[in-house]
Parts: sequence; structure tokens; C-alpha cells
Amino acid sequence: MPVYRPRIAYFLDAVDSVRAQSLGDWELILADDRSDDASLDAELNRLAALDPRIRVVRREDNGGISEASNSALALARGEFVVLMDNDDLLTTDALESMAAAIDADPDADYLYSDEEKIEVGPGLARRYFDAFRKPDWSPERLRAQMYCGHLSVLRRSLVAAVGGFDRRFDGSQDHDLVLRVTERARRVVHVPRILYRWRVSPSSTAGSGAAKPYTWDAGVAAVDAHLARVGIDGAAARGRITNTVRISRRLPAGVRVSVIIPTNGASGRIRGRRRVHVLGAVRSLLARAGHEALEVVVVWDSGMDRRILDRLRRIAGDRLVLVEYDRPFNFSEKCNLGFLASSGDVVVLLNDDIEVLSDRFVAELCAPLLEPGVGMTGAALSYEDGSVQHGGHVYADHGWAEAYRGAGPDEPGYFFSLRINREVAGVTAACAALTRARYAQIGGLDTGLPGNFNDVDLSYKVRRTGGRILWLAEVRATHFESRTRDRSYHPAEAARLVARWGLPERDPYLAQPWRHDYPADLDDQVRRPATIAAVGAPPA
Amino acid sequence: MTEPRDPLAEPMPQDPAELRAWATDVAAELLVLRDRVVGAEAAAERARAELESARAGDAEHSGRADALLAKERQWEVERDRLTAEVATLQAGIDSVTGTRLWRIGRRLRAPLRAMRLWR
Repeated sequence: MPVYRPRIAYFLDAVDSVRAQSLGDWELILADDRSDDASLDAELNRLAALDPRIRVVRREDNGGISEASNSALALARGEFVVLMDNDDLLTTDALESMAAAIDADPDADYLYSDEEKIEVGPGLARRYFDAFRKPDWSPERLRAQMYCGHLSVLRRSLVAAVGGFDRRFDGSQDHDLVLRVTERARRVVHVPRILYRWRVSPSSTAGSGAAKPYTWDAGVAAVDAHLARVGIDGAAARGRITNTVRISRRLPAGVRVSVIIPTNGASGRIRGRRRVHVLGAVRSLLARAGHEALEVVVVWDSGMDRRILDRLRRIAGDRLVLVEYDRPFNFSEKCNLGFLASSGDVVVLLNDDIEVLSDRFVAELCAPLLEPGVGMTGAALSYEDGSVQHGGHVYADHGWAEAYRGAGPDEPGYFFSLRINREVAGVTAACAALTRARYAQIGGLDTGLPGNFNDVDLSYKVRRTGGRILWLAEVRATHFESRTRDRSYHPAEAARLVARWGLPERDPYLAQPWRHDYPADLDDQVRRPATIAAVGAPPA
Repeated sequence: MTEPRDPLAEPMPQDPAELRAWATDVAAELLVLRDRVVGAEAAAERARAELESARAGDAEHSGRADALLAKERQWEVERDRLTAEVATLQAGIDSVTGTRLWRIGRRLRAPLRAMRLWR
């Protein structure tokens, strides 16, 4: 615990919360960063005399939080170190819970828990609020936001191996350290319990993200350094919300991308004018792709107006590949046929009623797929009025749902989930990218799911083959799907999904309880099978 | 479940356009099979996990454990059958791409290879 001129009462509360631990095998190292405070000095002496597990180091100069933390680390003898601020509180079961998690997973090199904030009001009444129920290990989210926060537990040998805290990132020194440790960690474990209470005071980051603006730039710099270390060709910048980080990635020019667009030539009224959807999709895609090595594979229904094909040829020229489809509607089969006619290293599935909004759309959507462990990416889709159409899938509580569907354009989401890149259980096939190798490996979309759940099944398959799925907040498009679209499905489709994957229970990337990520008034949109016959039976 | 048709048992067309359509059908069959293998593996694994959970539970649930064991075995048989089908189809594809398709010229081979569904 680095200590620098704390309010004595808060500091003593913090120490007391350590001394009250149900697990007794700990040492507390207090590193005073030259506070020059006689009353604090007296308390440090008293505490060291009171409990032999408490040790004090007094720095000769004021070095800042990283240097003070390193002074404490230098004395640490435990196999794991726990980071704690000098006015925050541990719950009494914090260390015991973490020890149990380490026992259950001996390869764990880094562990983090859920947390909440605490405010002490008039009359010393304590108020607990803003509980952050965190997702399981989400490396992309960690780049965008120091979501792991407290309580963080790190294997001491690994902290030493990466060189401890780096004062260049003071203000976001913990974000930097956790990035460096997790780059090398064998296992990262989320303990889904609130084990830490972060005190809110007018000057603390907990009170307001804007209270310490230097922390934001330190966080951006830490992520930039991380990108360089792990070989991601990109740059970090301030995100749209305070203390979040946005990453812009570059896609190598030599990577060929095939965008597969199934269409029946439908048209709709967009901004007051009638428009053929697929023409708008291709026009906007080519205008904002940000990538030259691009082909557009349009899988068209035999019955549609052939003049649309002529107009597509004029728009896309030699980038266009046309594939005729003459069978009964099967979205999965259409996508698979498009894939078979394509030549890209990366394939993007794109609905024809989409209009690309963000620049460098293809480059940003596809670049993460070149990184180890990334299996599929999806975009932030909105309705024509700007409200959320797709904020990632949620598979939990025996149902499959769209997170945040219908949320307003200014809604940031649970702990900014709608403003940052993050891992999700799945993404919609209305806009999804994956490598050609992955698509072939998992057999593309399941043709046994012609209309519904093919994207859910695809997402499960991607994750089963070791791929994380990323929802990318700044890769944006409008999806002109009707808000009143009939979301019913045939029970056989749900039964097929359940036979493979079972009914979903806990979504690893969902902050629990999952209603945080889902507007309660849209509960009827959760697709939850009422009855599933012969659940889990192999096909006859 | 209907048996997937076997495109490799059919006579291979000589006309380039028909040949491309035929090759697409073959590749589509392979995609379907690979999809089903992943699905069967997942279902078998899930049945195994349920079984282990049931075994770890109360002994009076042994009837349920038996049912789960049967389900796990059923899925494993299905997975093995599909894996064998994939191997057979893959070998057939390798065979034709290595011999018959070789004769049809570079222009046609290139897009077929671009499918990259075979080695």
C-alpha cells in the first residue's frame, strides 16, 4: 500500500480492513512516500508495533505512486501481491476468496474481482453504490478501459520479471502494470465477487473521471506501449468517454478482404426516399472501406430485378463477384455460397440493408483478426434513428438476446460498454468478419438454420475453436432492419441450437446480473425457448 | 437425418462452367460436414460434462447418469461418423484436384484453389 498524506481516519479504515481479513496469512507493507506528516508518522509507528504482519518503509524522497509502490514491492515476501490504495477497503473475505481461486487454478498469474464504491456521508453513514460486476478475462476490453481495477492480485515473480511499476505511467500505473503482466500470464482469473470498496472523495478518480485528467493520457500512453510490445499495428488515443482508450488498427495492404452480401433486391424508404438496399450498402462500403484489396460478393436471388445487377456492376466494377441463388430462402446457404465464390483472406458477412457510417470500416473491422486468439469481429449497428440495433449478443439465463437493443444514441451502457471495444459471447451475422481459414474450419454457417440463430451458432463455433469475439464500438453502420420485425422463430431452430450447445446459463463476458446490459422494457425480445423437445438428442 | 449426397461418386462434368458448379457443390458439402463435426463434438463434450456433474452428485441420480452416458456415446458415434465422412470427402477432393482437375487448365484451377477448402 503506497501511502501519501491520506486522511488519517480513512487510512486507518483501510488498514483495519486488512487486519479484519478472515485469512490470516498476509503481510501488509506500507510505503510512505515522504508525506512529512507527523501524525501519519505516529500512526505508522503504532501500527508496526501493533501487528507484526505490518511493515513500514519510509522513502527518503517523494517519488510518486509508482516509486512508492515499488518500494513496497521490494520488501514483499508473499507468492502473490495485492494492490491497495491508502483509503480504500477490502471486504473481510477478500484474501480468502482470492486464495481459494488460486488453489482452484494453480496456473493463475493474475486475478481480479468485482468492486463497488463507498462514500461516507454526514453522521459517518456508509453508502455502497456503483457495483461493477465485471466480465471474465477480456484483453480487448482491458485495452479500452482498466476494467480489472481492484482487487488486483498478481504473482510476485511475474511482477518482478516485468520490472514492477513504471513511473512514466503514473496515474494509470496499475493499468500499465496489468497490461505487462497479462501479456505474459499463463492464466487470468476473474473472481465474480465484490472484494474491494473504492472510496469516493472529491479528489479521487472514483469520484469523477475528470478529477485527474493526467490519468487519461497516462492510460493512452500505457496502451500505446502495450500495442508496440505485442506487435499490434495501431495507435491508441483518447476514447469518447473519460478514461477510455480508442485503438485504431492498420490492416496490411496485402490482406484481401471479401465482403459477402446476400440480397433479394429489396428496397425501402430511407430518409424519405425509396432506395434499393443493396446498392446503398455497396456504395457506402466502397466509399468508407479504407482498404483497397477488396472484393464484393453479392449473392442474388434469381427472381430479382436484373437491372439492379447492372447498377451494381457500375458501382463496384471489377471488384464485384455475382453469385446467383435459385433455391428456397436459406441465409446460411447464401453466405456459404458467397464464401465459396470469394477469394479473400478475410470474409465479411454484411446484410444488404446496411449503410456504412464510419471511415476505414473494413480496415478497422478486419485488422483484429490478424491477432492471435481473435476469431470474429462485429460492428456497432444502429437503427435509422441512431438507437442501438446491435451491441453484441448475450447468451445467458436460458435465452439469447441482443444487448442494449433500442437503447438511445447517448446511452453509454453499463460501465461504458457501448463506447468501448470488448469481448462478447457473439455478434450478429448482419455484420461479422472472420478469416477464411476459420470460416472453412468451422464449416461456415449451419445450413440447418436457414433463418434464425445461424449467427448464434456461428459465434459458439468460433469460441469453441479458440477464438474470442470482439464487438468494435467505433466500427459503425446503420442497419435499416425494421424495429418491429417479427422476431419469432420455428421451435425446431431453437431445438437444433440447444441440441448442440445446450441452454445458455452464464455469459462469460456479461457483467452480471445481465439485466444491466439489457433494457428491461425490451425483455420480450429475448428469444427464450418455451419448450424444447428432446433437448440434447443427436439427429435421428 | 438425410444422407448427404456424394458429389465425388457422380461423373465429373467436362464443361468448365459446369465443372465449377460441380466443384462448388463438393466444397459446399465439405462445409456442411465440417459444421456438423464441430456441432457433434460440442454436443458430446456437453453430454460428458453433464455426466461428470451427475456422477459428482447424489448416487440416487444414477438413472440420470446412465441416460447421460448413453447420450454422450451417441454423440461420440455421430462425431466419429462425421469425422470419417470429412476425411473421405477430403481425400476425394485431394485426389481430383491432384489428377483430374490438373488437366483442366490454369484458369479454372485458380478459382477452385481459391476456395482453399482442400489442401
